[in-house]
Amino acid sequence: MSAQEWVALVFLIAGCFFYLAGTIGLLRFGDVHSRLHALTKADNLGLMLVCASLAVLAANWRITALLVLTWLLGLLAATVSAHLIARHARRVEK
Amino acid sequence: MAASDVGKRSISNRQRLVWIGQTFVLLALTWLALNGLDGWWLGLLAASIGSVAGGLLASGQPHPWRPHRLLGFAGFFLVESFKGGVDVAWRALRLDLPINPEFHRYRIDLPEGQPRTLMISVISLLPGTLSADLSDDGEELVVHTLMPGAMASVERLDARIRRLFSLDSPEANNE
Amino acid sequence: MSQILGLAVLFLLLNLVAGLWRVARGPTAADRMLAALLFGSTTVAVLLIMAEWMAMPALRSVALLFVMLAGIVTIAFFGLPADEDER
Repeated sequence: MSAQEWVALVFLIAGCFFYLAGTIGLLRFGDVHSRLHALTKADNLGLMLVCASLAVLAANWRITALLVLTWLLGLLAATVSAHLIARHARRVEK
Repeated sequence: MAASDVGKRSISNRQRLVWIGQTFVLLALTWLALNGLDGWWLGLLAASIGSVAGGLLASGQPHPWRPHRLLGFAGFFLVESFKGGVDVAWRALRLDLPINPEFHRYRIDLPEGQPRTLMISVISLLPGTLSADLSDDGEELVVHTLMPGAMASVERLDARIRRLFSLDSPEANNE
Repeated sequence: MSQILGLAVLFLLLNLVAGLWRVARGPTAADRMLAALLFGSTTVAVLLIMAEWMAMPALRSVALLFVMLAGIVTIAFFGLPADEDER
């Protein structure tokens, strides 16, 4: 494996680790709002690291731009969803 | 309040134009990055429609931002969201589950429109905070925190957003 | 590297299945809606890795579309703030 692939591998493993942590938080935390913390923050860090890994592998600026755009839109979707779910949980279910 | 309304009206149109110009450049660059120069005229058309529609339809007053400060904000955001992910991952994996969920109320001093929207969106990605609800008048934010002391990062975010949009600090407004 | 990418896809899919336990169990409707978030973030990563793994660049566009839909699904389910105030 080349040095480039080693770097990509480290990012990929770190990304998968944060996805796993997000799911463990989802299963272990005791209330909806805490679970939302785990999913939004850990999964988005995971997505960022996976995108970084793929950008290193692709070594192409256009693919990198697409990956960055996908990550930013993922952040936007996650933060909007988290706010709406949290609101719903607070207003309707309490 | 009345004085600030007058000031708003006199500079509003110029600010709107600046905002449309900045958005146009951003959209055109995105098109360029994704598609290159193939069909560049379609990209220019899409970026024009997008920026003008955004400038005319966006609620509240468009707030011009400084491009070089956006870089600083992006850096702050990257570091903070990284810390947020590491923090919550560590809490989820610890056997004793060190979380202490609480609700806090936070009074938003930022002007309506993009500064406020940005604030409410970014809070959920900072370490230990989640924007959980907004009061009906939109002035008060309910923040859910995972541990005591997490609210400090909300105040730092407030200062960062003021810098990005070149806004005065709340003390300067209360004269 | 190819096998490693395949393993990563498998790992993320297993992770998704584990998360579904919470969705199935609930107990509240909001807990079930967490599935939208989980599916959104995990599927995007899976699609992006598969695009590299199988050398299918079109999957990157699918991922981009998916990430936009993930946000819209939640908005459609819970409504934007202005709508909810009218109830």
